[in-house]
Amino acid sequence: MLRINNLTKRYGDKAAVDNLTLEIGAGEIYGFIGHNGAGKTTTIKSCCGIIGFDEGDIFIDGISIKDTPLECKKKIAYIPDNPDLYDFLSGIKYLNFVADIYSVGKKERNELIKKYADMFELTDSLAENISTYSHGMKQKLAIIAALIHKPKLMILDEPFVGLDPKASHLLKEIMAEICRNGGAIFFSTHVLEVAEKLCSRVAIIKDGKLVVSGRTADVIGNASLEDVFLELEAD
Amino acid sequence: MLKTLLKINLQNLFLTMFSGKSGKEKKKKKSPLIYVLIALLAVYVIATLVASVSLMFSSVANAFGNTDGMEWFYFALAGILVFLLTFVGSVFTTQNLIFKAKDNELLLSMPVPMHYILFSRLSSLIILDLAYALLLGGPLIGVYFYHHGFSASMLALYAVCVILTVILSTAVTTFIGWLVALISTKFKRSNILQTVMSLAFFGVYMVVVMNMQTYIEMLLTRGEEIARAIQKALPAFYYFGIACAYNKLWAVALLAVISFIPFALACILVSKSFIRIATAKKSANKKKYVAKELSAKSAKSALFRKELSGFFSIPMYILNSAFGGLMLVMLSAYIAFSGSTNAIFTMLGTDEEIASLMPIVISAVIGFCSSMCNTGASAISLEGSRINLLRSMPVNSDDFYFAKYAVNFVVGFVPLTVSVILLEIGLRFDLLTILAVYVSSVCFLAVTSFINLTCNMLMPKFSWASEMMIIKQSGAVLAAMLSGMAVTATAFAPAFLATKFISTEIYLLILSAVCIAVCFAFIGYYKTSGKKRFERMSA
Repeated sequence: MLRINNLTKRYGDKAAVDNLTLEIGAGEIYGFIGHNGAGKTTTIKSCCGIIGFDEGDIFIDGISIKDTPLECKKKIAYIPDNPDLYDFLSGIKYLNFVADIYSVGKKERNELIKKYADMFELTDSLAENISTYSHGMKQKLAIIAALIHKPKLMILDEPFVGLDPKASHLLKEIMAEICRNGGAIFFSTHVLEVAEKLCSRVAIIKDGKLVVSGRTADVIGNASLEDVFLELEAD
Repeated sequence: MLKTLLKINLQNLFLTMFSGKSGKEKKKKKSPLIYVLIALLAVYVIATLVASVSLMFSSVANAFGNTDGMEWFYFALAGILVFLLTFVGSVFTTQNLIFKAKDNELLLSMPVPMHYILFSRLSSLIILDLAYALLLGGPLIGVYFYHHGFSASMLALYAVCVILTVILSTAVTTFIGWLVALISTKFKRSNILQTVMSLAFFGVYMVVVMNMQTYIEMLLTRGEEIARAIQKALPAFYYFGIACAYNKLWAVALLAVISFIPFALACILVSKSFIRIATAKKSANKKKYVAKELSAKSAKSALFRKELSGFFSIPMYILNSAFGGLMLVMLSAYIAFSGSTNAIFTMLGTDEEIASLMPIVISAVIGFCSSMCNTGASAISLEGSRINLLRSMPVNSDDFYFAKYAVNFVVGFVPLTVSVILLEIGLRFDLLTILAVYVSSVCFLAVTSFINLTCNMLMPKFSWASEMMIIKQSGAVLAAMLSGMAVTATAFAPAFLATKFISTEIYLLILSAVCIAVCFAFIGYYKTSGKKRFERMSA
């Protein structure tokens, strides 16, 4: 579903991501772990076509994001770490705006918005302007907006920050459902317990370079993901 | 700590005005030609401003500078004008910069004394106001020196008095900003309140500008009477005048007292309620969502609607970016209904050749005002960090630019059309002439809308502390304003020569054709360079 081939991204002389290669198959939840400034967000932004890169290529469902970015973007949904949405729109107008951008049919958008807004208990607030929402509500709205075009690949940057326990649980279920339906999830997190429990595969990145990747069970062995991460960080 | 806060605020102000792209990407070195062009434009605008102020106030300086006992009057007037300009320039900016800055909560969470935060914000505002004051205060003292000779001590005292006047103006704007912010916390539709208040201020400002010549004539005929009134009702400006005209330090001291006391009071007032206002949530009842069938639209239409909602959501955006449109409608209404039409024709009618240029003059005024409808000059920057989310969606560069361009065009097109109708009522051009004026104005607006958007495309700024900084002080907006003036001059100045050989209507139609060609060139530019720049946009 997502193939990153020898990705290199430099800011000036510094390589934020250095020759990174990863592959995320259909049905996989892939955790992306690393210290602050390791290159996680740069990798994620590159995968979403937000920033360009210097070397390598990224393929979404077999399509190169370098050559045909719009086709790739139709297949993905991105949830940023900070849900800075259009504050001047109401929640429902924002969702309808996103549905228009992804050309979601009338019937489908009505059904999906109702389904997810009810699920995240946001329906009553949809008429309010986003400026009146709390951080958690904005995060929920960003998640609903990401789901209404039924993405094949969800890319999330620190998705659990700001969510209440119930919403976190719902998001995990939705992630699992997407994978059951043949999609894939690629997300960055600092919450190692979540990554350990949720992810079928994990990758650890340090100073822009991939340190380890593979099936979660293989990576951690008999230790915990936290132990493995701290050990690798110490090296 | 205070030094650091001041530095950050000033840095922010400077970066918003002069820095281009934000983010981690390495900046490309700009061509020296761009700097030369910007410098030339700036010189042109400043020279025009200096010349017009000098011409307008030359007679006043001449009349009162040598009248015994009335020498102070000219300086008092200068003080009033500086006060008004800085007041109008920052009355609503103050509220936004103090109470709506993005970093308010961050700073409040730190062990930073409240008055440090306020002082640093107000200081950067005073510095900005001083720049405004210099634009008017400079020519005013220059005119005086031209008529009555240079005096270093007078210049020094004048500079001090201008600074004190700016402090007084900041005190008043801070108080009004505090009042508006306080009312806004109680008001659900505070945007409407702010727009109405902004329009009221704008209306007063326009009345003053339009009647400036009458006021100057009144000053010349009833100067002593007005001087007495100022002496009684506006002591600050009386002391301003006395200090400068007679080198009286006691008058400077009194002006300082009059300026600093309200400033201190305003600071105390704001600091008492700063946390409550800056962190207030609207108290209005929540509107419960009632599900309705949602309609589907194209991405292009969705982006346009989103852009339009954004435009109507920020009163200062409306006021600043649609300023030209408002001015155009008011001017046209004035011409249509005030009976000044005859005056214009009488003025031009003495020479048939000059009178025939009326359609050109009208088109130039419309063109100039339309160029000041510049929503596009800040529309890209206003995306802020949301640009990342938008770039992750399947939005192509054409649709992205179209939405921003279309809003700029519509914001200019509506007042333009209204004004052409009003002008036709007032001036009664024949059908061909008014059509030529209308078509050329619309075509010219199409070009200036592209220019505005291009300025922002070349100088986007996605990280900002307040939307106001982008709308009012960004380099892109400044460049768009200067370019608008330059393009208006380029388009209409040749008419004075060309109409010796062709009719004004033909000139306007040729101009329309050139504008259409330029628009096609812009479309080509956006499909190539514009697309590449869009692909590099990120916060």
